[in-house]
Parts: sequence; C-alpha cells; structure tokens
Amino acid sequence: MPDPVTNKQKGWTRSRMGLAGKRVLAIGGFAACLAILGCGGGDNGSAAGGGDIELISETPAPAAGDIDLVSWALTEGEPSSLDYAQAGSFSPDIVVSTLCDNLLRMNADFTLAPGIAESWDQVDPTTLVYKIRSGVKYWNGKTLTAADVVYNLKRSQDPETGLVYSTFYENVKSIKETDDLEVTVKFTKPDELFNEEMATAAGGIAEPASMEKNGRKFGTPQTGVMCTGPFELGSWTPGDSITITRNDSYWDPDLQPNVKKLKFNFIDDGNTLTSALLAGEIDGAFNVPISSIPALQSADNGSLYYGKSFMALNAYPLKSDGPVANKKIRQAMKLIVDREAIASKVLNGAALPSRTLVPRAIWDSSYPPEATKLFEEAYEKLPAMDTPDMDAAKKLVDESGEKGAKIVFAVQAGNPESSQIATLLQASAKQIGLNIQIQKMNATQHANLDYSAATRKQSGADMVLEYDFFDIADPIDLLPYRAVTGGFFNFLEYSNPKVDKAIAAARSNLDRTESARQIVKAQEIYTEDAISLPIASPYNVSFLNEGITGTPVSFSVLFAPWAAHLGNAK
Amino acid sequence: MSPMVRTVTFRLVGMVLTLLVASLVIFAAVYIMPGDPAATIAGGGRVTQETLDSIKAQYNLDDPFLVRYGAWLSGAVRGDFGQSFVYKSDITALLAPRLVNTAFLVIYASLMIITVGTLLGVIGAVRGRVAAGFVTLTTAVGQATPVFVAAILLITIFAVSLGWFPTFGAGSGFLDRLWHLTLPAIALALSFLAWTAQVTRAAVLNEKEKEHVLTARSRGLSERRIIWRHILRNAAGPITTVSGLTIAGLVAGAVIAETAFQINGLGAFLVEAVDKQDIAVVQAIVLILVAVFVVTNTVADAINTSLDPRLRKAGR
Repeated sequence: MPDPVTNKQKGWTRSRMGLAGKRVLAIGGFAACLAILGCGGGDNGSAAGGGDIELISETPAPAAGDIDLVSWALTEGEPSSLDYAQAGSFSPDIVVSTLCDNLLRMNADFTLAPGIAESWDQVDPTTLVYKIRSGVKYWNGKTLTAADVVYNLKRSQDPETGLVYSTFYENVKSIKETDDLEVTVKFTKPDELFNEEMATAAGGIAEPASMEKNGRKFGTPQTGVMCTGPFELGSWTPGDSITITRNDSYWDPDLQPNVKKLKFNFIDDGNTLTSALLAGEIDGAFNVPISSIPALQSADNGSLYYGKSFMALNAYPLKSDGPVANKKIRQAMKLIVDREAIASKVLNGAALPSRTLVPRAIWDSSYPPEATKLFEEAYEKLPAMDTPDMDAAKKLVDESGEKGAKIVFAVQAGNPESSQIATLLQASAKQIGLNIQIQKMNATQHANLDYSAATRKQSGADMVLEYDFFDIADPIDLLPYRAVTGGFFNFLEYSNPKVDKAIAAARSNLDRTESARQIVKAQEIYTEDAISLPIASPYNVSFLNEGITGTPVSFSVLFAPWAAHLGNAK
Repeated sequence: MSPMVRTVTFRLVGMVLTLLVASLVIFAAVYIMPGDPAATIAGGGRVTQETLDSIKAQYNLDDPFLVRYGAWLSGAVRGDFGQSFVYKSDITALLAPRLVNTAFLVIYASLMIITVGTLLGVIGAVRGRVAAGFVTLTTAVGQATPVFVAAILLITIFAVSLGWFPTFGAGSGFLDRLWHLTLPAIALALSFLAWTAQVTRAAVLNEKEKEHVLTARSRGLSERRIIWRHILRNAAGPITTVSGLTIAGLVAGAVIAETAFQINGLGAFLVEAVDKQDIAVVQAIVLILVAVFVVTNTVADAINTSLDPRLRKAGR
C-alpha cells in the first residue's frame, strides 16, 4: 500500500482533482445540518470556483506511545444495539468495527485482507474454503474455533437473526466445519459478492455462548457483546456514552492499539459537535455534518479529512404507476437538476455530481486496473448533466403527455440539505410544467418507505430522496435490489431482461474484470431508462484533533478496526 | 368537614381526575394512528413475523382497549413502564439516570429564576429610575431570547472562547453536574427569569402604594423589614403563581436545552423516542411530564391559598 499523502484542508486551498491513480482528497459529508458556504466540487479536474478537495484513505501514521483517553463523537446519535447482525448504519457500525472482528478485514483502500480467516481459497466456482486463524481469543479468554465461525455465519444467513445482511447469503448452499480450523462454504451458483461481504459485518464473529445466553438481548446495554476485537466493551451508559478499552491480548501483532480507552459520546446536533470539537472536548468524529464544515475548516486545533464514501444521494420512484412510471417524465426530471450547484453550494463541496445510480468511489477503488478503466470509460460516455438542460426537459415533458402532473416528493425532515435540494427541484420542475409537492417525513418513517408497503401507501409519495448505502466497493451489493426485475427496492417495477441478464452474469462471474464488463452493460441501459434520479456522491468527512492521527478516514471505518490505528501525532 | 379539609380534598380529587384523563389521552393516542399498531410500534425496517408476534404479546394488543389501559396504568403507578422497543430494555431503567439529569437542570434553573428573578424585580421596583430602566431593558431582552439562541451564545462565548464551562454533557456527581449544567440552566432560565422579574416588579410596585406600607413607613420601620414582611408577603401571590407555572414550563423548555447541550435527560430522550417511534417510551415520559405539571400547579395553588386568607375564605 503506497504511503498516503495528506493534503490537509486548511482554508480554501486549491488542488487539482485527479483521476484514479492519483491520490485525491475528497470532501464528503452528509447527515443533517445547514449548508452555508460553497466550495468547488467539479469532477474530473474542472473546478468551478472554490477549492477542489483531495481524497485520502488514511491519515499519517502516528508516533509510538500510548494515549490514555480519546474522546470520539457518534454524529448519528446512540446505536440501539451493538449486535453486528443489526449494525446497518453509521453509529453502530463505527463502534462494532472496533469490538468485533469479521471473517475477513477491509483495508482502508477497500482491498481484502485476512481477518479471523487467515486465508481463503476459491477451490472451484461454487466452493470457498476459509482457513481459520489459530489462537484467537475472545475477551473472556476462551479460544475461537471453526465451529464458532460456522455458528456466526449461519446466524447471519438466517433472516430472523441476520436482520441486515442475510440477503448476501442467498446463494449459499451449505456452511460446514470441514477440518480443525477450516470452514467450507458451498454455493448453489458462483457468487462474486459473498467473499467481499465477509469483510463487512455480514461476516461478523462473536462468541456463540453469549449469543445463546442473551438471545434477543445480545448487544444491548445490559448484556453487551463478547468478541475478539482490538478493543473491549468497557461500559455503555444509555443516552450518554460507550467506552471501549484496549484488548491487550489481541491476536494481530501488527495492530496493537496505542489508545488505552476510547469514549464515544452521542452528539447528533451539528452545533454542539462543532463547539465540542473546537473546544477540544471531543478529539475526533467521522461523518461530520455538512453545516459544520466551514467552522471546522478554520479550526486551529485540528483538521478536516476527506475520504471515499459509498453513499449515494439519489431520488427513487416509489410507485409503478402515476407520473413517475412515465420514462419521459423521469428523464426530464434528471435533466433539470443543477448538480454543480448542489454539490458545491448545498453540500459545501463535500460531494461529486453524479451521472448514474452507482457512485464513482465504488468502482474507483479496489477493482483491478482493467476493470476500473472499463468503468471509467463507461462513465465518460454517460451524459454529464452537471448543469440543467431546461429546453430538452421541457420537450420531454411535452412529449410525455403528462404535462402539469403532480409528483409527491418525500424527503427526510430535519435534514436541511434534502429540503434545499427538493426546493430547488420544485422550482425547476415548475418551469417545465411539472408540479412537485414536497413531503417531509420523520427519519423513521422516511427509512420505512423502502421497507413497508403500508408506509408507502399511507404517504402516497411518488419519489423519495435518500442516501443509498453500499457496504463494499462492488455495485452488486445494492444494484440488484434497484434494477433487477422483482428487486426488493424496485418499486417502479422496472423490468428489462437485458439488465437482468447482465447483472446476474456480473454476480456469478468470479473474474472481477468480466464482472465489471457486465455491470457497465446494465448501467448503460438502466441509466438511459432513468430508474433513478442521481444527484451526487458525498464524501466521508472526518475531523481529527491535531494531537491524534493514524485512523483511516474512508468508508472502511464502518467495518475495519480503525481505532487500533489511532495514536499520537508526531 | 372543616373548610380547610374540604379544600384540600377538593384539590386532591381534582388533581387525580386531571391525571387520569391525561393518562387516558396519552395511552389512546398510539392506537388512533392509522395502520396496524404492532407495525407502528415496530417502527418499520425489516420486520419479521416473529417480531410482530412478540410485540402483540408484550403489548397485549389482542385484549380490549380498557384492559390494556388498565394494565399500563397500574404498571405505571408502580413504576413499571414496560420495555422500550428500540433499546429492548426496561424503560424505568432507561429513564432513571435521565430523570436525575433533568431534575437537576430544572431545579437549578428554578433556583436561579426564583432568586435572581425576584431580586431583579424588587430592585426594579424600589431602587429608583436608573435601576428600573436597567431591569426593564434586561428583562425585555431576556424574555425575547429563545432557549436555543441563548444556548448558542452561551456556548460560543463561555465554553468555546473562554473555556470556562464544558460545551456538552451533564457530568456525573454533584459538583461536576453543577459545572456542566450551569450554562444550560442559564439558557433555560433566561426568559422565565425575565418574566418573573417583571411580575415581581409589578406586584411590588402595587404593594408599595398600599396604605399598610405607608403606615409602616410612617411608623419608622426599616426599609428592609418593610420590603420583606409587608410588601413581599402580599406580593407573593402573583409571584408564586408565576413560579408554579414557570417550573412546570421549565420541564418542557428543558427539551430544547437538553438537545442544545446534548444533556442525557428526559427531554432529549423524548425527542429521540418520538423520532424512532419508541411508543412505550413516549407514553412514559409524557405521563411523567404531565404529572409533574399537574402536581406542581396544584402545590403552587395551595401555597397561594395558604398565603392569602381572602382566597381561603372564598373556599377555593
């Protein structure tokens, strides 16, 4: 892994936004708060005012020596559970990744590394053999066995217990302990996704005895968790904080933590977070709110860092009837979005305008170079749409036969960026003869739109603006749910046999470059068909006090033991 | 039955009735929402049938409404509010530390309001033109400042720039809490403090002109004694009423202060529970807040009556 080059963002420095291969700092941010100043966010080196930002995977390596206590902030509030099988969002993921190892480990640049499994072998297209590391101990001193791994994988496979990740096991035929420290997974058909998902919480490992004993209460403040990670769960004071302490018997000699104790505070208010960071009461935070960026930019006690994120800000149809079922309407709506302005002003430069459903970071990360090249060329061919084309949009609406249609557009209340984007869209839509009605929903209801038909029906919304959440650097992680016939989130009921075939082929091709070839084939079609309204791909914004360094700052922090890298700044 | 006992009984019955009606409304609200109550309680996401079944069992959704209400209320009175669906924990255990923080904050703010507010009001009434002008101005500004604006100003100046106080949290232990909760208490107290000062000032001014005060002054009693024994004692009526309503209103205002300072209290927890659709927690907290409000007002009323014989005679 090459040395990371850090260009800390202080003030509005200008730096060229390079392509894959050059290290680029990217500003990323999402979560609630007001957008204030703008910072240029043009892609491919064409900066439109303000500074371009470079993306890094990790901050500079720390000096030797322990740190007694680091205070961290969870910017989305308190997790409701530390059970890895229920960890599907920032707050739980960032904590669980320090406590519980996964079968494999995700590097800061998203490549795969050994974890609980010290090696993996694709012996044939439908058989994966994992060699389990020996001598791994849980915090209570008991030794991890291959049977434990089988138990955990099966638990994640079962939809009743594997609440977030069970669908990634859908092609798994059997999981068996085949030797002393060996687990064999057999598939019904080749599946290129599974092994990569083992580096996420989908491959999470915890002690079966504690899960059996605590049942559904596993991972709550009363029972905690029992895992093997570099940090132990010290205490969880509900509503206040979670404290983790160093595991002095961690199995990885190359990843012994410097930090003795780390305290997670739950701070979901942007103003409070900014004040706490500026006052030095909190040492660091991932996923910094957009509104905090300008104030933290000029902080004199720390710096903002920007890393690749797998989030994508898209709008999706929620119905298979009404105006959004009309392709020309969807295509017209795509054309009126001012992505340049949104990325640079509304999102404070913390995002790239995007041309399609899958964000750039997904394919610009850990694919082999030929595959990345394929993606890059395909991306360049897609229409740019950074600035609106009102004439073309108007023409499409006229042709659609549904001029004057009303479209109910759902956004998450309390997320000002979403509201601003919806308002901009509403104003532009009016000009082309579409009547957008904005519907603000509370966070839970907004999230439910994707999961509950009753909620969709009750709200009556035609489209929803949301942040898509890919777990790994692979479009197949989420694409099938949106683009394939009968996909779980395919509310448009979009069905194109060519797309279905290409995505199925992509998933079952273990050669990542060939897989990429199939994906771009599908992408060309579904992008043209406007199954989604892509807006921007945000970056992961982090803040670190000048006294500490070392942690990765890419999306990998959700699944990799980032806190073990933290240490004193040199 | 003596008039005193009758009044007290009347008051208590009134209080209990109010609480009962409030609790019924709080409980019923969940089931008025459209859709399957089990799904509402589950909050959505990927809900398995097993989860829905366990909700039905826990909340006895198949029982008639009054049975469920009775079960909930009898539990609540004993301090058992059931389980939080989001955190899968005993609600009383979740509420206890938060109750401590909120109570500390509210009491701290109340003391500020009562002492500083009354003091300012008295000064504004007895000390002459300049003092009166000053008090009027500051109270006007104070009353116009919403809690969150005050919070941001206080944090920016005293916590970030000067570093005298922490920017967030409630702390632990008595002295640490006092230090952490000073800025939040000030933010919370500000507008009520101003209101109390104004009411006090008006009441004192009113009393100042009364005959008994003039008599006392002509008799040569010290000014301090006049203020304390003759003016304030009679002005206490309006002041107590305002204080009663204020303390009750503080509990509601605490929601904002707690959110702004990230204090782990009932107010912040209520906001979170509403957002996460944690129905049982919302019911529990609202019931507690309403109970505090009703009881506080009843007590304030009672103090008022005991201080003013005229009200006692009227049998209120």
